[in-house]
This record gives sequence, structure tokens and C-alpha cells, in this order.
Amino acid sequence: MSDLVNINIDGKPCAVPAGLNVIEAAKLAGVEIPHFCYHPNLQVAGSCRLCLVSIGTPARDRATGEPVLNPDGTQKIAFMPMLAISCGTKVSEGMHVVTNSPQVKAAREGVLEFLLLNHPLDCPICDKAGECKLQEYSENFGRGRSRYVEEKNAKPKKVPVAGGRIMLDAERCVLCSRCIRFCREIIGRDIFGFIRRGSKNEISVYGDDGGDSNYIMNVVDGCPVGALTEAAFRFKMRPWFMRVVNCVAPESSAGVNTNVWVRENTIYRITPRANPFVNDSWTSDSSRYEYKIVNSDLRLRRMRVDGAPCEPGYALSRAVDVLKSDPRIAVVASARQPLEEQFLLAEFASMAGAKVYAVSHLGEDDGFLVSADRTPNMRGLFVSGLIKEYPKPDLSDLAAEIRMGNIKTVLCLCEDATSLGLEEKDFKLANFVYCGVNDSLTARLAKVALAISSNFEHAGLFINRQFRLQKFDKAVCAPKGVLDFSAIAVKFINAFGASLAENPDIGQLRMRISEMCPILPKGCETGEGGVVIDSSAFASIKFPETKSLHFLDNE
Amino acid sequence: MWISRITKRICAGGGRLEDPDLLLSIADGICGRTVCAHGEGMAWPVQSNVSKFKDEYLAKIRRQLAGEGASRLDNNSYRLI
Ligand code: SF4
Ligand code: FES
Repeated sequence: MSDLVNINIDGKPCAVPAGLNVIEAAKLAGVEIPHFCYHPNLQVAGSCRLCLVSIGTPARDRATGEPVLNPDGTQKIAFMPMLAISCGTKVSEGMHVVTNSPQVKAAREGVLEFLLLNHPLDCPICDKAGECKLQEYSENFGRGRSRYVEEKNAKPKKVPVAGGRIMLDAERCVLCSRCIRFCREIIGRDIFGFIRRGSKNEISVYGDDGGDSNYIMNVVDGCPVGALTEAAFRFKMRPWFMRVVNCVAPESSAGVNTNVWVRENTIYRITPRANPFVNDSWTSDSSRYEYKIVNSDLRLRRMRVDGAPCEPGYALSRAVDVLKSDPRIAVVASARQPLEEQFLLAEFASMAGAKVYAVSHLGEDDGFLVSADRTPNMRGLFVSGLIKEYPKPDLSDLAAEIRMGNIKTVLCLCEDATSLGLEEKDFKLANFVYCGVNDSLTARLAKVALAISSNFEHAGLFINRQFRLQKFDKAVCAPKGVLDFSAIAVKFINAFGASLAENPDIGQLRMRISEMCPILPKGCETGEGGVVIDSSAFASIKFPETKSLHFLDNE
Repeated sequence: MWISRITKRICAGGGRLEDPDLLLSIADGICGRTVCAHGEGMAWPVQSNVSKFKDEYLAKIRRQLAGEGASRLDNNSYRLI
């Protein structure tokens, strides 16, 4: 940990890490300093002036350098005559910060009043209402009523940005420049900019409006007010009606932390959740719409035996029959399943004496938050002991074994084997049990197809590219007739002679796997930001990810 | 913008008795709190002018309120724009 410095905020002494700015230090001390332009992951602009506080440092005699004392012997604090911005001031030893003086209060009221001069005050029809900083601060720190009686300036409204994915309403903008800085610093080119001066100053977009960027939506989360709103989410749901579930994006091995917003078993949007070790405050645009799988037409919704829909109980017992029909068995593991399910599959594979196959799904590494490995939990396959080498992108090995007659039964998880080197005739040579979220040709050809819950419908653990173990919660309930793979796997394992508790509780499962695997923390407790597990056993494996945000950059 | 709109309104005959104090309070809200020195460059003249000649502002507004309105062409209207 970095060194601590002693400061005093509103009369309360506290020790905070050196190098912090006053906003962050006050947050640690439990004091909120309102701010618009400051964002922890962007450069400091110091332009909104809402974070003004009075700051004083211990007084020293100019000539001698001796500390100046008050008559009562305490150190005299020299306050600066003007207020200072807390976002642009770093804490120093002995610093005094006052955030509740009449002077500070007047400054905040002034700034908020100026910001509201040309604001349309249209909260009832604004989509950001309920999570708008201007609304909150006006309520908490504002004057309460405006003294402005003149005409307001009108600015452009409903401007489509980023190919229509974002709506810009310049009248609501507080000119914080976060969107400008995000595009410049993170996307790497200018997309937003200010035009005109003074009260006519407004936010605007260049001709290249970032429609091709996979990160532009982050400006919507960054915008403290309703100036930038997400077109797909606009007017769908008020923020205060929704519940927020902590999840991890299953998009790639980056393991981006996300908030999934749910109301009455429906997911309305996904936004990034800040994790300074993984994704800062950002996520890719593509990861925001992954929840569509939950209600997609591609989904496998009913269990099937020999292609005919049937009840889950019957399908399960048929699946057990198929798996026990021949000892020449293989399993196709999936790097898209959470760690708990991978461990259960590994247990099944060892009890049934099955050969294990897996498939890698590779894409282009964008050097930021979409990594080359497009599965969230490839590391989990290694940790659970299912595989030892980085898998091929297809199942050609399995196909060859089936054709030679060495494999007669296959338990295939999630992978659409028909697009990975297996042909229709192979399904005649071996009996397939398919467990998957999506319907596919494999599901239709398999002897038994079992519908399982998606990663939004169960809790679990993923291990990302940093070997960081992260947990995610269950966002919604699976559709009727769809089972968790963990429940199915326990049935299979028990069919081969074990006696595990049916419908295992996630806590017990985690405790069990942490006992089986010493590199996992006890009970797989990951804490807030996840824990990095010891990966020395896997050092020789060649993973495809390249250097990107918080990955390989400080090693 | 706010200040210029108020002064223009006063010149046009729509002054209110609270306007001079409002002008001062707006100027005080700018001084010492902006990033850019232009803010103070604009607020200082307002502060000095309004505090030194507040009685003249009030006198003009009172005349307006008494019904003499904007039509009166005294020098004040030019001085205040
Ligand atoms: S549009 Fe939003 S993020 Fe951009 S400058 Fe305005 S208030 Fe800030
Ligand atoms: S947050 Fe400090 S000036 Fe805007």
C-alpha cells in the first residue's frame, strides 16, 4: 500500500493514501464533494467548478521555515483566500479541507444556478431522471429556485450520434467534457467537441460520429446528465424500478465487470461496473447486448429425445441411459460454463472414464476489453483439470476418433459440433447427449438434447485472462423447463455411482471445489474485485491474448 | 449573458427593484470561481459599477415603475448597455 498522509476534512482527522486528490480522499472519509467534470479514469479537466472547497495547509514562517502556531499552541492553518478545485488538488500532509462553510455552499449554489440557466428543466420527460447528477446536486446543494426570468437559449435536441445508437440533447449538457475526453483518451480520436462561446457554448459531434467504435456507448454512462442517452434503452424503464445485479460479461476472457439491470425477470440493459483491476469504468458496446440470448429465438427451450419435445424428467433419464450405454465415452467441455459446472463435468468425466475435448473460440484482440479468446472461462477448463493443452478451434480429433469407432457416446456441452468438423453421419456412429443454451443442428441430431440455463440465469465463477477469479450473480430466472447444468451434472455423476446431494447449493459447490483444488481460495471467496489465483502451474500454456488494458502491461 | 440580459431589460424599461442586487450577486458568483480570467474581466466592472452607482440604477427603475418607461431618453440608457 502507498504511504498515508494525515489530513483533516470538515474537522475530522483521517489518514488517506498519498497522491489521492481531495475528492477521492473526502469520499474515503465519507464526505461527498459534488463534481461533474472529474472522472476517476479520465484526465482532470477542472472546468465545471462544482467541486470548489476551501483548502488550507499548515502555515510556516516565510523567513525561518518554522511552523506558525496559534496562541493555544496548535499549528496555524493558512487557508487559501480563494476556493480551490478539489479534483485538481492532491492531498498533502496536514492539509485541512472545509466543504461545509457558507462560502463553499454559496459557490455550489452559484455554479448550479448558472448551469440551470439554459437547462430545459424537463426531468419528467428525461430518461436520465433518477440517475442524473444535476438532479441530485440541485436537490442537495442547489438554491432550490432560480432567479432567472429572461429568455433561455435553445440548443439542438434529439441529435442522433454514433449511427443512431446515442441521442444527444445539447440543452441538458453541463459542459463537463467527459465525453470529449473519453473519446480522445480511450477511443483515441476526437468525436465530440464544444462549439461557440459563453452561454452559447454547446456540445457537438464531428462528421465522424464514432458509429464504428465498439466503445462509444461508454460516453452514455459517463455523461452525468441526460445529454447523452442510449437509443436502445430510451424510455424503456425508469432506473428506480430496476434491480442491479453484479455480473461478469461472458463476451471474452477479459472478464469485464457489469451491472445487469432487471425488473420482473426481464433484463433491460447492461452497464459497466467499475473495477480498477480489470475494466476501469468501461465495457464494450458488444457486451451490452449479450442479454438478448435470454429471450432469443435461437434458444433451446424444450428438452428433446430423438428430436421430439418431451418433459425434463424423461429426457434426463434417457440421457443417463445413453451415457451408460457404452464405456467408449467422450465429453466436449465448454469454456463458456462457470467454474462450478466445469468441476462437476470433470468429476463426471473421471467417473465415466471419458476422454475430454474442448474448443477454442478465437477472434481478433482489440487491445482493450475484447480479448482474442471469446470465451469467458477458458482458464477454468485448465483449473478444473478438464484439459491440459490449449484446445484447437474445432473438433476434428473427436471426429476422427468417432469415425475409427473409438468413441461411441458423447456428452456435448454448448458447442455446436456440426459447425466444428463433425458431420451428420457421425451422429449415427456415436450417440450424442447435447446440453446447451442455444438450439442448433447438433441439438436436433443428438439422441437427447437438454436445455440448460444461460449465464444470466445462474450464479457462477469465471477466471479471466489475468487468472482473476470473479463471481457473478443470477440476474433472472431461467424459462420453465430449462435446468441448470449443475443439477443435470449431479444426476449424471450419481448415475455413475456417486451420491452427491441433488440440486446443489452454490455455496456448498464452491466450498467443495475449493477443497478439491488448492489454488482456489476457501469457498471461492473472491471479494469485491475478484482475486488473482496462482497460475504458475499453467505458465507453459500458450494463451492467445495480447497486451491490453490491465493485462500484461505492468508485468 | 444573464447580466447583459438584465441590463438590457432595465434599459428597455423592464427593470425590477431587485435587479441591482441580483447583478451584484451574479458577479460575486463568478469572481474567483472560474477557470478562465475572462470571467473576472467581465464581473469586476459590474461589481464596481453597480455598487458605486446603485442609487442611479434604482432611481431609473423607480422612474420606469412610475410609468415613465423606456421612452425617456436620458443618458442612463446609453451608459448601461
Ligand atoms: S454531453 Fe454529457 S458528458 Fe458530454 S460534455 Fe455534456 S454533460 Fe458532459
Ligand atoms: S470536478 Fe473539479 S472542476 Fe469539475
